[in-house]
Amino acid sequence: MSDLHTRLNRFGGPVPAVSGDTIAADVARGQRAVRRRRTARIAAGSAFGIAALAAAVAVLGSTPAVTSGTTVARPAIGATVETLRLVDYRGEQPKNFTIAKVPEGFFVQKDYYGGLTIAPDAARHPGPDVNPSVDTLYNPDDFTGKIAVYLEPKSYRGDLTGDTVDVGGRKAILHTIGATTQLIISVSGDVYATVQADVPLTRGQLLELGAGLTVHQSAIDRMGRTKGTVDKD
Amino acid sequence: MFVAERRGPMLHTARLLTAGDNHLAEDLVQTALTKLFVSWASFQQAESPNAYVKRALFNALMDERRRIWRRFERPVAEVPEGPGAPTAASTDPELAQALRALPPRMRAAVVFRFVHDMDVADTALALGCSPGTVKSQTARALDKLRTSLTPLIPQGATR
Repeated sequence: MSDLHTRLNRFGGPVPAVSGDTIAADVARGQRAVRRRRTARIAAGSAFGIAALAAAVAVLGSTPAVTSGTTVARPAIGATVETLRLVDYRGEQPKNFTIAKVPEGFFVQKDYYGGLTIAPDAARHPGPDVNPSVDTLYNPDDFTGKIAVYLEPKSYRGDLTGDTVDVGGRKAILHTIGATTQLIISVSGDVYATVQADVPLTRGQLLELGAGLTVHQSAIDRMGRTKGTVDKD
Repeated sequence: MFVAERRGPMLHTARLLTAGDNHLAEDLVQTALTKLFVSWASFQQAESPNAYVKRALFNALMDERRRIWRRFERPVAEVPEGPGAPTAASTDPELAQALRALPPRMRAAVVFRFVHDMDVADTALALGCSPGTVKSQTARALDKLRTSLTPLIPQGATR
């Protein structure tokens, strides 16, 4: 049996070193896919009104704001003006988090100890002709057009790049992945709470949203004990 | 950083999943990495990140098999190789043939369980099937390989 194991391993070939060009090509491919997906979703008009869509599409094509030669991180899909309004959250608070602000017309679609999904009201009541497995709006594990909050061990992230900011007295980093910006908040010595907004929020709105987020200690402790995996509730 | 760390091992896995087709293996890795990029937050919430990556590769394999154009693109069984590095299929043609004879899910089961030593639960996540199916698929795959590669696999060996 060990002969087969050895033979199969040899068959798979050596694990090749990866060049910088290959990595850049992979990342560029991923960024294009994200843009295509987002554009298609916006065009479908499933999340926002026509006016908001027009504004969102307009800012999609814009370039990052440049101030004194320094590139400013773009939150979410790069909103430079407020197309969504943040309001006080008045719904039932999640079990493991307290949230102060949400975009107007959004609700908590999923709540578990490792995170939250905050989705537009349109996701509440799928019509009879909707297939939730096809339309990702109704899938609480799909974050397209939504805000996701999730906890993760710091060891999983490694070194982070981005603007360092203060969020409600906590150190945080605005980390850009393609056209999406994550607000990565340090909530303990070994756990981050990441706010990922795939909706047109400005940088100020994303920081305000993060400042209003409180993670309960029990959830932080539970995530701190994990080793790169998330237990089921 | 993720790509730098994971791409090489993913390519190793993809070569096994494709029974030594290096070109298809590269396609699978690119497709899987793109899907992981798009679903990065979901990946980070995954119960098992390793199983999530393996599932992305497996789904890419199944999607490739469903593409009709590939049948026309590859009208011959053996794609002639250039003067580059020898392929796995050319260095061990017997094993390549034995792997090609396995249905893709069965091949993936034996690769994940036997080569990567993943547990049944993670393999089930990766293949999107039940743990029972993983066990039966792995056992049947090893049986078939035993038939093809008799001298290497002792009778009665299971996983």
